Amino acid sequence: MSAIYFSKEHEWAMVEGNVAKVGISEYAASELGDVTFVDLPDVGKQVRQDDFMAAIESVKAASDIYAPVSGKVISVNNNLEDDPEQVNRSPEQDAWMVKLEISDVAELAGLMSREQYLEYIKTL
Amino acid sequence: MSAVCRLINHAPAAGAWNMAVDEAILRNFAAASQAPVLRLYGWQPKALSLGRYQPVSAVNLPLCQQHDIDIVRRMSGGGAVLHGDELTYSLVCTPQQLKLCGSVKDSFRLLTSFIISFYQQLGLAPAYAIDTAATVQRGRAAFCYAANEAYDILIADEKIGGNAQRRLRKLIFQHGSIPLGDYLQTGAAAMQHPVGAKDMRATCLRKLGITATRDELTKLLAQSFSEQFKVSLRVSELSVEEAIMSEQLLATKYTNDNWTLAGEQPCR
Repeated sequence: MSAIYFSKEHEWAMVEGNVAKVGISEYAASELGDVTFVDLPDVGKQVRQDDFMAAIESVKAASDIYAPVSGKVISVNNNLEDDPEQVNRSPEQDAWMVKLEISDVAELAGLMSREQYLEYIKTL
Repeated sequence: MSAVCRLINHAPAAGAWNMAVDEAILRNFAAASQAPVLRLYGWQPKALSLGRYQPVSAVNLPLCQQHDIDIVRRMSGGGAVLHGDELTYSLVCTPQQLKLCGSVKDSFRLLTSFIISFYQQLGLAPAYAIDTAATVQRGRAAFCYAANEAYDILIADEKIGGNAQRRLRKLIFQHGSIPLGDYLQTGAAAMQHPVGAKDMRATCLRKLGITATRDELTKLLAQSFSEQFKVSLRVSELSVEEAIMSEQLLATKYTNDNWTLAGEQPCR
């Protein structure tokens, strides 16, 4: 059984057990424009909720991606290195970026459901 | 005009120092309490800047060394630019301060509107690439002037200058160049895969017959910014904190090959 959560910084986290697959939302991908580069963290790295986790470059803009939950990086999507435009084509499916072993599931309570996130982006 | 923007004028300086100052201003910017910061500066000696994630293999390093071209790495995205006789700006603000909307492309169009106005006041006819018949490329070109993106500015179908962003959580940083003299061929030749003249349609103010001095152009650019964003400019210097951080970043990052050549952050 999995559940998807969204952060105010436009990351999504698909949670199954104590593992979160993380990427950026369709809204964020659309706002960034054509993605040209994704810089992923090393496997084994510990990240804290809301801290810098990865970086993404779209045409002429370099932006940061923040960890939606704290945890340890257990896997990264290396396909994005060769095909960063996957982020534009399939931001919430194929273009997952990082799998995190969640260190504190209580943090999920501070994230939004898809419905809440869709309401949130209407306010931006 | 009620809104205020800090204006910092710097004489042409070394590329590494310029990049260190830009980052120091960004890192010291406290969104809630600060006015936007517009910095106008130049480059002496000439330097080639790489985009944040651009591999250094894109550049012919021995040739740059032979021609005394410094190499620096920007914190912003985009391709390589050779900075020589040019007017450069950097801007730090929140999206709300200059009434920018969220998307990178839309903010580019809005943020570069003062440059369009600047060129118009010089009697030129600038247009965004997307509004012309010019070919617009998807993705990044290794040499900034070798391709047009949607909101690059063209004059008579030739690209003039380049602009690039760095985005933080609540802040937008953008800097860009307005070339006065013609460094295009030198820059194109400094790339590992030189760009031929026929593949590069780019220009500069002197080629367009603009003879105004650097000081006159600097004043006009500041005036265009003030009018476009309806802000009054308050002439300012670097704060003590900004100056100290600039020197730290210069020593630890912008003169450090780990950053310049490999793009590795000295600390995060």
